[in-house]
Amino acid sequence: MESDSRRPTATMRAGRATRPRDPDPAAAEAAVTAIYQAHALGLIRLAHIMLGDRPSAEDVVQEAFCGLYRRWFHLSDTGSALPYLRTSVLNGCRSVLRRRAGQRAQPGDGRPAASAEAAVISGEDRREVMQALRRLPARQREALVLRYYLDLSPEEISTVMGIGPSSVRSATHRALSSLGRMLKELS
Amino acid sequence: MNTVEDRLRAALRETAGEVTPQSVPPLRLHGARRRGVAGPAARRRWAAWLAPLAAAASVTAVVAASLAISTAFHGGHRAARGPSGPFAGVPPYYVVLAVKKPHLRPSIAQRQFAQIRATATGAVLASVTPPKPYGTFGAATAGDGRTFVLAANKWKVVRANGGTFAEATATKFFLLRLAANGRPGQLTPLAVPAMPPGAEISGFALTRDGTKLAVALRGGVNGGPGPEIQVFSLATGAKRVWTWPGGGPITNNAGGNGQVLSWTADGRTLAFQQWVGNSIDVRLLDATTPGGSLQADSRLAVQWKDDAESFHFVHGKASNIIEGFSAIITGDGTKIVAATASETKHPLNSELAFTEFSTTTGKVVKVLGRWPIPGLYPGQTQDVLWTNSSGSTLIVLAHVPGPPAKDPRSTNSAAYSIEFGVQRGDQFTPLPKAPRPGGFSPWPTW
Repeated sequence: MESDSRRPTATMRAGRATRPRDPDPAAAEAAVTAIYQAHALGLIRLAHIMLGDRPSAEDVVQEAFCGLYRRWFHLSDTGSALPYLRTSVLNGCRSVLRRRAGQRAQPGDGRPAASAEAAVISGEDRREVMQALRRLPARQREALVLRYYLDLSPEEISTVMGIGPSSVRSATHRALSSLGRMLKELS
Repeated sequence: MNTVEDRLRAALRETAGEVTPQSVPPLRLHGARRRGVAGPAARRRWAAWLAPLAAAASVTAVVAASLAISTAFHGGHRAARGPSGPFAGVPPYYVVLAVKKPHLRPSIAQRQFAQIRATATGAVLASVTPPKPYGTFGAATAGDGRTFVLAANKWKVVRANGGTFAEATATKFFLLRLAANGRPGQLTPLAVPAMPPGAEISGFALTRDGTKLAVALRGGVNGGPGPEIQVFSLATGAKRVWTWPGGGPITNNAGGNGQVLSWTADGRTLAFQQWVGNSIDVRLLDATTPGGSLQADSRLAVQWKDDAESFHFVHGKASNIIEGFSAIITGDGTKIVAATASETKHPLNSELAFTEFSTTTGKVVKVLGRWPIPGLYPGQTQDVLWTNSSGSTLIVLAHVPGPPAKDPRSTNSAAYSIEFGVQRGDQFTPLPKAPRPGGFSPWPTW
């Protein structure tokens, strides 16, 4: 029985760790570090958009790379590291947002406002859009960010989010409608 | 900058720009390996990565010990006369790919073997391991229910980036015929050349009389050579090729799963799915032609438009969505069968179903297995895996009617489960002891 709201290819059971093959920590560290150098900036930016603050974004990305490093010897396709990291980062952001929602009662949508510095340098339009974006349900927000920031296709978003392409399209469509409504209310 | 999309893009770009390349901290891996077993959140992340790995299973897998051709027959089956009761009229056997230790991850590190199962009981009648040095990764079937084609990869071991893995270097097709009692015969290499490395096979299908094999190459990406369909005579190995330079890829709405090719019973028409910009098209190839232009020798039968939310079709007043992955032609060639969902906005209600479209008009002609749901429909997949000649009986992947259930292994809230079964009209009968949908293996084939 499958209970996840995902298509079957994304609903795999969690497995126990397998015995590492030919462990070579130095080689693994070098490989993961190389991936970090290539993709850390983009991933931190992604997390920053989702969370609205940079330290948390950096922590989430560090944790994602640590996860990659721990699993390095169990990987069959190291070329799929980027989709995995994107998924890790999105999951990490969800955890941070859940913790925030549980730990502090904030006015408005319960998510942190942009820093004072950021508020000053932000254009009014950008501030409104980001506020509205952060009011969306997590799935819709992620679908929009992956589509309009990373320019991923519905199939690629489907891979990262673990939901079907139809659900991606549906979430994107609904998110845009909601965003439009909220922006109209704000203006 | 007027549209919501434009404003959103600009806001995201500006927000991302707050993180500069100079501000990226160094990577801190110290202590990462000393951590204990990954917690639930980490396991979910791992599982999420396995989805793309599963999609790539045809090209990459870790090599285990080599296995010789072998079959293990687990006893006869009284299905010689075909299943009865709710399973009457459906093929008596199916093939599902499996691994020896499915609880180990990543399971694509293990060789996949084929299990022959009885449709009516789910009993495993035989296991067929791939010939050395191959590892089976896909299967197709003929309409008599006892002839299957298995596709196997040849692997090359590679050590790189601190890991040991393997690359698929070729794909070879094998024929497997079952006796009336389900006993497998010899696994015979087909007189079809191995597909070279890098060939993006988006599907393959055997005619119902088992004489012709169609193979679709995806193509159509980034100005590449375009999609291609090859049809081989299994008796002579003769090959005919249809190409469509610049045409959209032969694929479906879902990437790895689902069938993009299907034959009519007479073996004269091959239905294929093509992703063409803003629509998914189901086209019918006249397979009696000598080959040549895929565009000229095929005609559009059904089209599902992409309206930015999903792939839609018009039928009644509801919003109708193509939810499944497969689009299968009935044996008589009159209909295309697909899984669909419908929504009404006021009030918000949904309905899942299996919908049949006329290959002449493209319009809906029949709907099976209607399942009305208050509110939004669940986001999982339904799909069609087999149809009889008229489309009155299907083998499907469907939601289980009844209240939502909680999977004890899942951290998600309760949801509807999905399972394989026979759909006859509005009557759904689950297949006993069928494998769980999901995992790494392609879905079973009949």
